[in-house]
Amino acid sequence: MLKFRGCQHFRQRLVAATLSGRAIRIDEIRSQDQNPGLRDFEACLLRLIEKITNGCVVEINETGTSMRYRPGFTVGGSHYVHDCGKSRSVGYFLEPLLMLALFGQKPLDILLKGITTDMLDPSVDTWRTVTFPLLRKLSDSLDGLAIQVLRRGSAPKGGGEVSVHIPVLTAVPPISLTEEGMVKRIRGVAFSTRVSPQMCNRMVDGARGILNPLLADVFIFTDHMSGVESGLSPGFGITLVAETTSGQLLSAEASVAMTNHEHGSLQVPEQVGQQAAHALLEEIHRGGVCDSAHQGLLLLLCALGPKEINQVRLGPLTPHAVRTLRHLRELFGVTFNVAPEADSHTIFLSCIGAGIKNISKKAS
Amino acid sequence: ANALFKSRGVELHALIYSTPAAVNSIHAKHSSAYPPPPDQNGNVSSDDDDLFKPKAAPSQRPGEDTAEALDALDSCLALNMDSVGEVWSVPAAVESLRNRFVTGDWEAGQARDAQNP
Repeated sequence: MLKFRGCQHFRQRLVAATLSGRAIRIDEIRSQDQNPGLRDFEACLLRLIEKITNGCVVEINETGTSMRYRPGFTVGGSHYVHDCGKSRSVGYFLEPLLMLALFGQKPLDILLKGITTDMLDPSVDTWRTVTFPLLRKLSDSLDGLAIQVLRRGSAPKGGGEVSVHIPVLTAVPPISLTEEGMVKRIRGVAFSTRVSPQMCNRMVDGARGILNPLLADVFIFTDHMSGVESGLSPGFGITLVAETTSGQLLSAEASVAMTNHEHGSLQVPEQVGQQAAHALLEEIHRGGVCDSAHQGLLLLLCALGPKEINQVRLGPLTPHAVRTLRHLRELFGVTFNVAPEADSHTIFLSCIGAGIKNISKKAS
Repeated sequence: ANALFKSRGVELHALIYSTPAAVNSIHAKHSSAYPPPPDQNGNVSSDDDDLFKPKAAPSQRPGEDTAEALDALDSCLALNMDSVGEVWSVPAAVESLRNRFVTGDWEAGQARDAQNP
């Protein structure tokens, strides 16, 4: 049994443990915190994993500072509904859910309820416009990967609903993504819930003011939801996606919710648009075939890939990506070769994949 | 720790993999991520005054996200919006990205793509 400490990389530990079939134990979870133990969103994630898998065993001590996880296998299926709570957004739960469902017995159809956009996790728009297209590009068998935003929900009360369909994968295809390309178009989505529809246009103006001097092909959709579709709290936000000539997608986002207002960081829509545009420029400046938020996902896919060379080109590694690399070595025995490229400040990472196969599917 | 996130440095590989993720992997030498084990009496700290103070590990200071922090926030979003805003609000900085767009020099863009260590 592999033993870890602390709550860092909690989701990826559970995912990697499940896919590698190894039991793990995590001790000292926030043991030195004034509020020790697992948080409600982590318990909520464990409930979700118990829901979609068969045979997994989760044991937590009285204070919640230690837990043991013995993985089962993902069943999949349809008509699942999960309330993600109000602490973290749907994006927090989608990351592990996606990887577990890809290696399931049957395709997964699930309705996730909660907050659809916050500044802690990728928003549902990022999932729809960047993450899922990235995965669809990697394998033809992932064409059915789809996410539909039925209702938007801003923090703190949420009220959003997202329908997700995740097909199953026999094995991860070989990955070789090293061509960055040049940014040829920028697309985006600006949304608002329970505030004036004019907020969307003002965010678009703010973002275009920064981006248009560099590129004319900037088109940002506006998505104002009203009534029950707008969730329970007021909020607005924008997601921007830069598409390069080699087909790579880089995303950045910014949003405002009432929780931010309470802390005195009230922002006008133009500022939010500018913030997202600045973040997108930062992502373009960092380079690599994906933005900083998707580094961990690409590295995980490389490690799960076939027993041949899988290579990606990334910008400066984020703390999350470094933690991913360390955990991939422990749980799959995959060590990446790291080759920095000095002129462009990018890093070429290559590995021999662990050759993880979906045990529920016959190899074709 | 900042060196981990720079693209320069021949020891990048060693920096990434110097800290094991699992406790099982800790051998004779304890890394900075893990506090030293309790002594023979089971005391981690000999200072009794610290008993009722919540201890925060050095790597858990608010606003600091390092790969070593045991209880680091589990989030893949890494950009610090405040510093990003400061950098890119300067027009000259924005213009320096021109060659990363199709409106810039295509040869420079293709040369960047062709770079391989």
